[in-house]
Amino acid sequence: MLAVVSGWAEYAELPWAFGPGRSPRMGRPADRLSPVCLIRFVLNDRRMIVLTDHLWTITAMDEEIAKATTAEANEGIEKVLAGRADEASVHFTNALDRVGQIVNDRVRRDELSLLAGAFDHCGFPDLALMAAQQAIDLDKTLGLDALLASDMLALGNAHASMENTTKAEAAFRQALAVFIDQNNFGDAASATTNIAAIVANRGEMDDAIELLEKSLGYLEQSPFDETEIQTRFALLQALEITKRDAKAALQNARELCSERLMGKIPPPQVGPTKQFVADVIARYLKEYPVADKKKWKAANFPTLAG
Amino acid sequence: MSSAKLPHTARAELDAYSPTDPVIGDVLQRTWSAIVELRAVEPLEKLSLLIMNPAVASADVLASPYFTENCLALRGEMTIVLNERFWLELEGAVRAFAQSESLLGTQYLKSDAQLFGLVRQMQHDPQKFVERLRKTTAGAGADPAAEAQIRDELEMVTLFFLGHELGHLLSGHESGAFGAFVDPDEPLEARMDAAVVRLCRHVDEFNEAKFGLPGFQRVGNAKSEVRRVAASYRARFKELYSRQETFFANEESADEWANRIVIEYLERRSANDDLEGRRSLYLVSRGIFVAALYSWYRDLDAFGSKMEPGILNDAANLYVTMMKSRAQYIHAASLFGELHRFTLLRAALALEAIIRARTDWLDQPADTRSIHSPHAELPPVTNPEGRRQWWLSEALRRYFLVCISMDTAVKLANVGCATGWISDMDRKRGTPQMLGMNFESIGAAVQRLRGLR
Repeated sequence: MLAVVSGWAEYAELPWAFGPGRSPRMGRPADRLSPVCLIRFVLNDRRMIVLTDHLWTITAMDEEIAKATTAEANEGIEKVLAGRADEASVHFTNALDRVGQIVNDRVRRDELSLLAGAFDHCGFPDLALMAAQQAIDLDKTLGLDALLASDMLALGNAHASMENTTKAEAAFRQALAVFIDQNNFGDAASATTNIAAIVANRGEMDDAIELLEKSLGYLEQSPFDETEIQTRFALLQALEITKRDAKAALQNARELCSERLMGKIPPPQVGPTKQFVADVIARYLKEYPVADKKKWKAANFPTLAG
Repeated sequence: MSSAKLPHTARAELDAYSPTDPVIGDVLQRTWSAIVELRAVEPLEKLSLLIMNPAVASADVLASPYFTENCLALRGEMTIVLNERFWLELEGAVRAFAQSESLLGTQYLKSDAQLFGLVRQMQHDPQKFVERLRKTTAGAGADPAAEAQIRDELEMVTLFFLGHELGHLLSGHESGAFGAFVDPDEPLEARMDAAVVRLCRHVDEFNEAKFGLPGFQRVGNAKSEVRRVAASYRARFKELYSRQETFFANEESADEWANRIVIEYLERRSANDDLEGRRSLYLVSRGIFVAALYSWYRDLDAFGSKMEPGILNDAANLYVTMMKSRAQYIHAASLFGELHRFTLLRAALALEAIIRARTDWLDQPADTRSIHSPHAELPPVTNPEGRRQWWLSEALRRYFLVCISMDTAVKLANVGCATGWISDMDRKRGTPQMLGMNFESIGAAVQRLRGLR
């Protein structure tokens, strides 16, 4: 049986796309995708599962196993939505067991990679770690360098969730080197922002700020709003904590509150964002007073006016 | 039990059996080599270890006195028997928890549902579960250091279990076994008098170890009305009660031997390397903590599967389940061993004894010490003092979390012990009364731990 072909572009166009590396982790649940999106994802046509830029054959048996894997993963997601993490984990491990039966290495790798993302987003980094490591083993065997970097990112996210920060940072840095090598600046930005979060948590704020600014540089070459929001949000906090450069802090806050980004900030993150922005504005105006604060705010932060 | 009474065919089968699994073989070999070197076991001239795999053992073995759910000592033959499936589950739990180096990063401590999920994944197919986890330190992304650390931890926790059996042999007990689990195939306790007698026995032991329940002091007071009712029940089980007392005393002495054996082993490991001593303390604490917490949740899961609505997934669910009727607390007696000490209590006492023997932390003034380390993660080798602090902190956190996690068991035992008296009151009053007891989830317990100094 011939696999259905799907291009990377089609995948990336999905409104919730969390292509490998597209979902930077800042150590808070707010930046995660909702499980509803995942259901939509996993339930989607199998074209979405088989991601490639070329054709390959898939046996009927492998396809059956892949379908069964998807079904188990979907049941797990249903359980997550029903608040039954205990039962969800059993379905997810069943999915891991099933995927191991797929003969075709490439198909198995893709399924594992997807499972790693789904498990992590559903709050099972332990299972995400297992899936990502198996996917990485296959990436290495098959010589899939670009995908290896994406899976390293997933591995890093799983480690970060379990507070294994040294391992997480190592995985992110390894992924970053490959992304830069391949001029994949979108994913390079994700990896850099994730590293910055770890560095910031270590208290090395100057290095963290430098990394976040570097990440924004990558995003200029390959824009991706979700990653930019997380990066700017982290930068907002870092500049505020260090009380550095009020002008730069204000500029970053202005970008975050722009028409382009403000509406895309995940709802749980809106409150903290407004709070930090208010602090930035107060600090800026103390340093650079203006005659009419209301007018100034309306001009600089139209999305916050009123 | 004398060797003459033991079936020779079963013994011959077990003598001929050795595990084919390389990890089990390696860890047991290392543990046994360590054991035979210990001063504590010198009085035992003859000693053998048999591995019993219930999946391949004959019906003769399964029906013989060699059968055990976990491990067992037979003084007549100076033999210890270890159930391979029990060990496999132990390995699975150790590996699952080892995915996070720090306690606070552990996935399974985020909620009760995560812990119950771990239990069910394991029960579904322990072999597969363990194999999946073994892959995380093997393959292209191999992490030999992580694998070596897991095997060290397994060696230490195996030593702890075997140390208990050695304790039975050293104490001259005819036989002894580490513990009993809730059997999913057996009905729950339904006799109020037997349950009350059993649970009051556990309450006494909890109180002795200072695991009391505020507001329930009367339950522990031998002269109270509550205990008068319990004593009248106990009179019906005189013979059983005296047997239980002997068993409890034997278990206590075997536990003390296990602690001594582990402490001697740790002394040896750190004889020439103080840092290794601290790392070993961390690893043994990890192992004992994981074994105890996993066993407790597995028992709770088996218990919950027999109660309406047939599933237990968090503390709120337990609250509702236990509020349904007085009978629930009678059933809960099944969570506590008939003849064995309570799992978490043993772990808490063992950890306390080991930490006391290996550090002076417990003797330091309360206002100057802290269970927390300034380092969120194990510092690099260039910072030995930081590593020492981190390892101690992780050991202490596990000890205190086991103590905090005693909460549910203490509540169940206290209310269960008082159930005879409560039922009398119900009868006298003639009207029903609800009894709601809040239980603490593992997530809440971790929050409490974070708040400790």
